[in-house]
Amino acid sequence: MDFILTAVVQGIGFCALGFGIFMSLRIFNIPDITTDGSYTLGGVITAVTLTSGMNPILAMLLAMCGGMIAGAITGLIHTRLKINALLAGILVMTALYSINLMIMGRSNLPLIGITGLPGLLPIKNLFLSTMVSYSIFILLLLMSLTWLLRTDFGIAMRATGNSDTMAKSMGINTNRMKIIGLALANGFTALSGFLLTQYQGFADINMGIGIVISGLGSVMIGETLMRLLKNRTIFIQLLSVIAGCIVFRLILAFALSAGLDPNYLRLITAIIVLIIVAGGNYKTLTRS
Amino acid sequence: MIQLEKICKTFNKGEAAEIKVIPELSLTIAPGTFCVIVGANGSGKSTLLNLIAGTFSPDSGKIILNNTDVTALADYRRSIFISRIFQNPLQGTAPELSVLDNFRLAALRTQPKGLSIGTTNSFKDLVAEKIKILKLGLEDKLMQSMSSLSGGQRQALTLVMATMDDCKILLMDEPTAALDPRSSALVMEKAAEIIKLNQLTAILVTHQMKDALRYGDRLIQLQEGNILRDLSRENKEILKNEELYSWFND
Repeated sequence: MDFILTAVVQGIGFCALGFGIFMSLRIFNIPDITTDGSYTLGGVITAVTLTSGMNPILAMLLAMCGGMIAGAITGLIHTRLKINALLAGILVMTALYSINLMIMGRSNLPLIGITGLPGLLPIKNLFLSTMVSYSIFILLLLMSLTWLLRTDFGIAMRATGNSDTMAKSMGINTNRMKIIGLALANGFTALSGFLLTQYQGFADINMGIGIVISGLGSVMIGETLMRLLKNRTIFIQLLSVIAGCIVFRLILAFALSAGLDPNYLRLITAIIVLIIVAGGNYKTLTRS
Repeated sequence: MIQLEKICKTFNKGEAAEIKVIPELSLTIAPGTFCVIVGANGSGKSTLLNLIAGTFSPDSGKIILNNTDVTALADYRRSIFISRIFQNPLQGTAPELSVLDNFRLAALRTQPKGLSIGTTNSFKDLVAEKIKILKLGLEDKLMQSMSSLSGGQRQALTLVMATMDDCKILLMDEPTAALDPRSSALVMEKAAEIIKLNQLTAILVTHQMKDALRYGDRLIQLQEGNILRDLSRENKEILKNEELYSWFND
């Protein structure tokens, strides 16, 4: 039973990343690989600031800012230098590897005896306080993102990813919008780095490898679940991201508990995402 | 008012595929005029509209809208003056957004899109009221996504969207090319109605000779980027169908 609870907490921690992927992929139609780097960046900033005794809330804000800057740089490279979004993301992700090493000073930094965000709650049991604090955190994030996407600014954001021509004809600076969108998406991603670093008790230079794929997988699982519902409001869509993140971690946890060699984890992750994506294309594939 | 002063536009400059779409063109369209532009494919009609809207900038010359020089303004900034109806009904609307969200953006075309929720109930009522003039029953479908509507319905809605915010200039690039005859007629009638009601300065680019004869106060024929014929309202009214068709056999 323990591994299920563990997977749920991990899943909750990854929801911020899920929101980030939802923004870049679903709102702006950009598969943003910066994610791998900005997730680690969030974790690295968290580890460095928390071990130096900083307040967890401040550490969170710094981690988010770090992610936002990374995302904004990807956005700038993509829109101003007219470089393909995938390539722009890969460039920034690669550069972030060195930046992350530079910030951390080494490749792994443990958080020994530091409670972080869960420590702010008056709950003795660390696992319980982690679960509660992470849940509150993600709920607040869900509320703010729902609100943001429903505002006039949010509608303009959604229009930018949906129809560039229409957005421009409505007076929207679509380039600026993409930069802001990628900044926000990577800010959210860094927040998952913040949460997961505290949960696992260390930051590692390689913690972000392939994380973008697990994010994509989570968002797509959520969308598959959402097909069962008729209502597709922004709130429901974001709620499905949360469900997707948790289900994704549960799938991995079950695979591991069934005796899967952890070395195959990323292989399994890639296969799961492939199955979901190809499954979505099933009808068109069989036609050709 | 739309003023073009000695506009030049060449594509692929310096390459083998260089093409001079507009050698030098000057044109003034008076406020409140509904101007129809016809011409063979490649005569520069769409390029002309795109230059006015700012999709691309001219190599030389000036573009002045309502006495403001907009030559150096990016396309999204020119939307302060211009509403556009595209040839493809899919381009003028955001398909995955609801009808209401599309109208919300249209209502803010000339204004900043801020951090407040504008799709309130009173805004909904306003949109429903506006859409009623189409008599298509779309006022009951505000919460549906645009993609669930037909091309004709979307094009008709785009027209109403153009009038949601302050609009002086309306550019229409073959707005009925993708529509069936009934939807075409509806869209053109509504367009004429809206232009008259709001006293818009409008340009219609069309290949439909019937529409060119029936609508507008001025008729221009473009050929290789030059104005070949320019008919005022009076001359246009006595123009016959056969005569107009013969323009294309020159």
